[in-house]
Amino acid sequence: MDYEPHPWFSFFEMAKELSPETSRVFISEIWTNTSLKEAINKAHAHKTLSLSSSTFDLRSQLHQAALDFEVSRTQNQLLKESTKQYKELEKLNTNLEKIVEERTLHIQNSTVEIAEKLERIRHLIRFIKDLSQSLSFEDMMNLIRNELKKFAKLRDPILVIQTDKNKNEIYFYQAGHLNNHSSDKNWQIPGQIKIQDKNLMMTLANHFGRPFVSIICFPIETRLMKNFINENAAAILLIEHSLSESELDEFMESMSEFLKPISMAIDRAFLENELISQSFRWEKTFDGIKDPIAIIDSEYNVIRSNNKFSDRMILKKCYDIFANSEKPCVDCPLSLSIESKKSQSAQIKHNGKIFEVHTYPIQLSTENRVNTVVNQYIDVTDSRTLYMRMVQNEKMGAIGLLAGHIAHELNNPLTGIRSLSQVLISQMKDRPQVRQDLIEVEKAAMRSQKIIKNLLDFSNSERKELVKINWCELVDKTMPILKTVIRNHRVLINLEKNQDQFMTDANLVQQVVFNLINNACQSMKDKGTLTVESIYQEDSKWTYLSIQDTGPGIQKEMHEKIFEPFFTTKAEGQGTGLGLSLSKSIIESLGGKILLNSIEGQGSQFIIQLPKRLKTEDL
Amino acid sequence: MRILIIDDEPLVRRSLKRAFISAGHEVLDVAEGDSGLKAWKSYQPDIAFVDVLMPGLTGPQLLESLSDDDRKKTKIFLMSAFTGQEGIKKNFDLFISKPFEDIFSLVKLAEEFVKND
Repeated sequence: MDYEPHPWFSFFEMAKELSPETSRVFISEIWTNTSLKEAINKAHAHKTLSLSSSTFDLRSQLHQAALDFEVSRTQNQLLKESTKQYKELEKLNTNLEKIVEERTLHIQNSTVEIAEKLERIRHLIRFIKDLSQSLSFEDMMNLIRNELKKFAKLRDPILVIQTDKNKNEIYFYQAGHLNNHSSDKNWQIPGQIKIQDKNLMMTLANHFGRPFVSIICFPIETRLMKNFINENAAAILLIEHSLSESELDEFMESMSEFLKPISMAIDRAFLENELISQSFRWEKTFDGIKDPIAIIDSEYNVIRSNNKFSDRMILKKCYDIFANSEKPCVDCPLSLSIESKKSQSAQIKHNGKIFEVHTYPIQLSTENRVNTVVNQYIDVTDSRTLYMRMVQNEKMGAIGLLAGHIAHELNNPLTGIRSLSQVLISQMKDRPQVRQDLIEVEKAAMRSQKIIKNLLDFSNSERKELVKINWCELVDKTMPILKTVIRNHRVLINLEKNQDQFMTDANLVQQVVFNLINNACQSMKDKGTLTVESIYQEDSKWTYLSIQDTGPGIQKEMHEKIFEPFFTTKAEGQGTGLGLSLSKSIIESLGGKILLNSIEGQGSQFIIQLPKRLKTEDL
Repeated sequence: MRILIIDDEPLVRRSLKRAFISAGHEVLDVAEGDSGLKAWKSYQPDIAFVDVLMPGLTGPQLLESLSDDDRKKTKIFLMSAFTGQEGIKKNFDLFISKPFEDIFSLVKLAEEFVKND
């Protein structure tokens, strides 16, 4: 039979279209094969039921279908839901992973950053430490220079320190070494960081004689300089560069950390440098003074001294350094000066020299009490010797004047006595006794005249002329003047008569002979023996006179000392201590020497050694 | 010979006087310059011994006060105990420094002086 498609089929198709899960149950009265096929294939019925079935069956079949549908729908929904949820979960998971990844990255990044920062801080600390430990201004500048070198495209730094208006110190590098110039130009020192400051670039160009293209100027804080050097002190660090704009930013940022320590270091180093150079100047000034100078405390410790005083800086007692002694020098004015708080002076004798010591009290500590002095030692040996020579000349001059007057006053009556004696002698030929008496009177008068003449000659030191003499003549002239000191002793005179004539200043030599015989006699307390002898050596160019005593002798250590001015063993007031030193200088001025042989306890022998000159020109 | 001695030291006058008298000469002695000058004029000596330092007129002052006439007739011996004669105007014949070594040689010297004139 021709089978008309069932109108439900299209309905089924529509239903399938709209809700594919829904169970489509086709109930028909009659099922043919064809209609069955068609119901399944065309209407996509899940189930075909025959109306002929029992109602129960039909109903349960439908119910089953409805259940199936319900199950299938729920399943579908569940699937849908779970798929959706799964998808969401998946998405969530992805996000989480992303976040974890981001976090991890972030954490990793910040660890590096912290490490970097730490490293930077460490470096900064190290740099600051290095700066603070730099021993010299140059060391410090080298550190700064090396630090800046880490940035490429930077040239060596230039430091300008203005200690006062128009007083600038320019520090710069030349061939790797720090150099400095002073400049009296008016450098404009800006107070803040300046990039490309026209004024500065011009001043720099003028100063260095080359153009400066890019320059950054960092101001240096000068707290110490302002305090200790000049309140107007200012400084800048100039850096010439060829950085790009971004590099410049980076550089400026890192410099912001370094500027402060650099600033402080420069401030400190410059002040130190100034102090060192000031103290160096003082030291040079100190050392330049020709007299020994020392700063000494009340315990005689040398605090400082110039190198004339001591070339080593050691804490020692001043008398140890100056006089190599174990106790303060005799007459040292130090304690008096500290007590009186006034400058004092005194003379200190040491090693054959006389020092005029001036002591000036100074207050070194803030305590209000003086416990330090400056000692200045002026060597006055030469001037004292000259002075003493002058005194000796004056003395001899005065004696000469006096002797002149006495000579005149005595010579007149002596002339009368002698002449009258001579007249009377001639008239007393018949009275030998009286005549003999008169002869004695005449002789005594003659002797008196001779003494006066000797005294006149002796005191006449003005007459600086060379005359031909011999020792015999000289000693003969001298002995009468010394009669009172010789009187107590035995005198042995052994002189080669007329053997050794020589040219010399007889008066001066006589003064020396006088001194030596006088000393010899004074040294012998009890009756001793004075031996005066000439030593004649025919082929020698020297001539000698020896004066020997049997006194106590002289200790070996004293052999040099006794020729020092003002050295004396005589009681105060008895000797000036000038005799031997003056004798020595007189004989030396005549080209000779005074030799000394003496053993303690066995007497002394002084030998005058003079050149045997025969012509005036020889001297 | 007529000898004039002008000296303030009595012993010098006395010894010279004795020596010259014993040699047979005539002697006048005065103790100071002023009376010496007067004596010179009246006595007109052949030889005058004049001391340099004297009270009143000194020797050189005395010699200054003499006329050429006075001087011409007399040999002048200037005497001094100061050895030098520096600074003294040379208007005398001989300078004799005191002390004399031998007074008789002085007498002889004086005699020679007058004889040779």
